[in-house]
Amino acid sequence: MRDDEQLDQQWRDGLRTLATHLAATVPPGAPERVADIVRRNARRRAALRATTSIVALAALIALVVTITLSHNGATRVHITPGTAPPTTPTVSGPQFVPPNVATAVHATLLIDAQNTLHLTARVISPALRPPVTVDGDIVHLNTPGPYAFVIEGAAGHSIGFTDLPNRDRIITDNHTPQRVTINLPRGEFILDCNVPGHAAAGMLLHVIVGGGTPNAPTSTIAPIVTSNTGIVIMPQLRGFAITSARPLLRAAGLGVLVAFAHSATQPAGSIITTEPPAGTHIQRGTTVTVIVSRGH
Amino acid sequence: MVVWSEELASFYANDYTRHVAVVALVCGDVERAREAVDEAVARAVDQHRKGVTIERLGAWIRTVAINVARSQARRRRAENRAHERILRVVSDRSGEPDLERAIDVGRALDQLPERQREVAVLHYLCDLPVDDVADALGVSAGTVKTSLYRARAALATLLDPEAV
Repeated sequence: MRDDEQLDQQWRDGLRTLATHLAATVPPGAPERVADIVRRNARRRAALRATTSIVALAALIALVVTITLSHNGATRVHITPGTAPPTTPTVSGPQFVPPNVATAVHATLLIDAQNTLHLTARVISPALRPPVTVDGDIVHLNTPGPYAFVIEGAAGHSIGFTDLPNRDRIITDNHTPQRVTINLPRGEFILDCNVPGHAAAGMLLHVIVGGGTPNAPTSTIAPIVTSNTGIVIMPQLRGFAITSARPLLRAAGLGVLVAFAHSATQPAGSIITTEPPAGTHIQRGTTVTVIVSRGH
Repeated sequence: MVVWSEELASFYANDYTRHVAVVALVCGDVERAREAVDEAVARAVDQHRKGVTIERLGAWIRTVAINVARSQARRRRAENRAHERILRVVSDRSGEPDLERAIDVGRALDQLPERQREVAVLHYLCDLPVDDVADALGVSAGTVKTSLYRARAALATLLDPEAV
């Protein structure tokens, strides 16, 4: 075996010789070739910018169309029987205690004996400048979505939302009690009264629609974004009370771990930050950590 | 019009062919090496236009060109054994005694995978220390050392097949 240093030297000498001979065969540099490349790169960048603009424009048009459609067409809520339909329909007052601070609207869906769905809603705390107002059967979403709807249904029924603006957000859930989170973009939605005949008469559903927060009056609600692909987008929860956020996170299928920290900016009980941070795409079933303020 | 700094002009006049040769040893093809170096120079011009000052322009261009050549190779599904062509170019100029030994090194280079070729050329030809090679290629110092070990082994085997 040869000495390493000897081999190193041989590599050096050999490569230098090869490079020198090779360099002698290389045609001289042509600045105009470089000028061409510079122009080509500039054109590519411009084309990329144009493509990005077109995509953005297309997305905007799609959004406008979606909103327009949702103004005109009704959003149907179908109630279909699950494995064990109740023998006696539940007819009672509100059974679902809304999350305290973050809830701006407490709405109730009632299916009557004619299988007509009634939506009644009241604003829990108008001072919170709720992003959602309800006018009869129409839910007005006043700030950009998506919004979280937590819906608790009667035992043994599955709730399917069809004809939502975005088809991939159809969610059914056979668990008891049923809690599903659906997302709607900004706009007005009429929860349609056409309920299939097999829905249980008098069945009561409770709907919690998003919520504001006294700590951040201008902020939007804490949206929980879910889709039937099992991906959840972590919402921005800064400033929200942990008591409000926890049910929303749970409803989105996330585990919640709470850690406490001192904060000069967030009052005790408010969320400082989350791990993973807002906007992260995570799998349903993931446990997220919420850092909650203990105050100063 | 292209903004053409004096430094860039000087690089083009004095160092261009040598840098092409370096990149050609890595990628195995003089024409592709030219394209890669031109592309790197064009990017330097862009940087210059944006007001970015590139320190050690030659080294910058070399690193960028090696990376460009690598992505080109990936795009074109890496023509195998392209170094054979380089050796042919070089052997056309045979008759010079040092070339006989150099051709062994060329063959050894030919046996190395892409990453190890880059390491060998930057270290032995461009005199970059191990840490600088690691920086330039975005690999660990350990990878560089392993590559150099393989390079030595490849050359040793070629020179002395029975010794291994």
